[in-house]
Amino acid sequence: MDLNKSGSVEETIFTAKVNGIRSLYSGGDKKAVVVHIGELDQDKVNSISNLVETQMENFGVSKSAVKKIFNIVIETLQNICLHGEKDNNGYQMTYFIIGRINNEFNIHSGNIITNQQAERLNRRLNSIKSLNDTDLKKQYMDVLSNGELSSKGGAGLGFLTIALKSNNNMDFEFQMLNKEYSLFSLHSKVQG
Amino acid sequence: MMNSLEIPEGGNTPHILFDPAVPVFKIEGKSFPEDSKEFYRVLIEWLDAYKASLPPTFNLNFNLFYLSSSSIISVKQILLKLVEFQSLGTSVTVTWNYDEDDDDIKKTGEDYMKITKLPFQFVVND
Repeated sequence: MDLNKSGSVEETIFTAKVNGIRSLYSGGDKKAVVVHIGELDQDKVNSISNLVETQMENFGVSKSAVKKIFNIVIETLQNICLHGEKDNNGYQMTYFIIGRINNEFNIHSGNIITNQQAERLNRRLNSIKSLNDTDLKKQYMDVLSNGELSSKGGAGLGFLTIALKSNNNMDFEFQMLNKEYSLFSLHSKVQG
Repeated sequence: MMNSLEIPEGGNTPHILFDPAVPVFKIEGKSFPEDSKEFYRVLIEWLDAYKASLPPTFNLNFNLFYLSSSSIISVKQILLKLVEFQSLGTSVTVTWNYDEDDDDIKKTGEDYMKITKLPFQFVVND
């Protein structure tokens, strides 16, 4: 799989997805305020998160909303660093976009995962999505009480945190790219 | 007397100062290292060594304004270490400082108190 190859099936699906998201935030009160497409590492996580913080403060977003957005951004980006797959050339295809519609901030991210991971993640996210506020908090406390960090550094709290900070305004999609890999897209919303 | 441990604040890591001579034990700032387990490993090891000296009291001060989910688990491990101190007879207290309008961090402290059952004191920053 060569994700950087223009015109490949994988690249076409990825580009169509990114263009679709970008088109949601063009003109008037709708604006893409942060856009990152391409590889992701801890340095980029730090620079993107700094940028997000500064941007949000400049927009006059409340301190608590800035923190919620910052929380989601960190969990999203670190998830991708930990679990995102690379193509045969070691290239990691990801996108990260924050779109603003008036006072609503939409955090979009996408990365490549194996089809096997996609199946597992789909089940996990559907189960989180089905929880009400009380059960969400309860599951968070269960994981916090019993959770330990895996060798990859994951704690099982990341998606629960995103769900909590966005009041469960969280959508996701898996698009199969080929027999091995899928594009995993995540979208959450926070009111500024 | 045990050596002190100090880790200066980094771009995504807190300032850590553990010095029994003063005594001062504090963790301050933000925490979202890429590998939180690795970052806090030194502190956990330090605590294991200090535990052996059976200190009569131990007050740990937190003043954190941001914690990623993996850091939240690591800080829990630190607090569970303090529970071990407690079971060996050390009188342990935790001071949890937070900004007045920061409900999320306050809530995180309350979650820890519930899980560890350690005596927590909540203090609003000036």
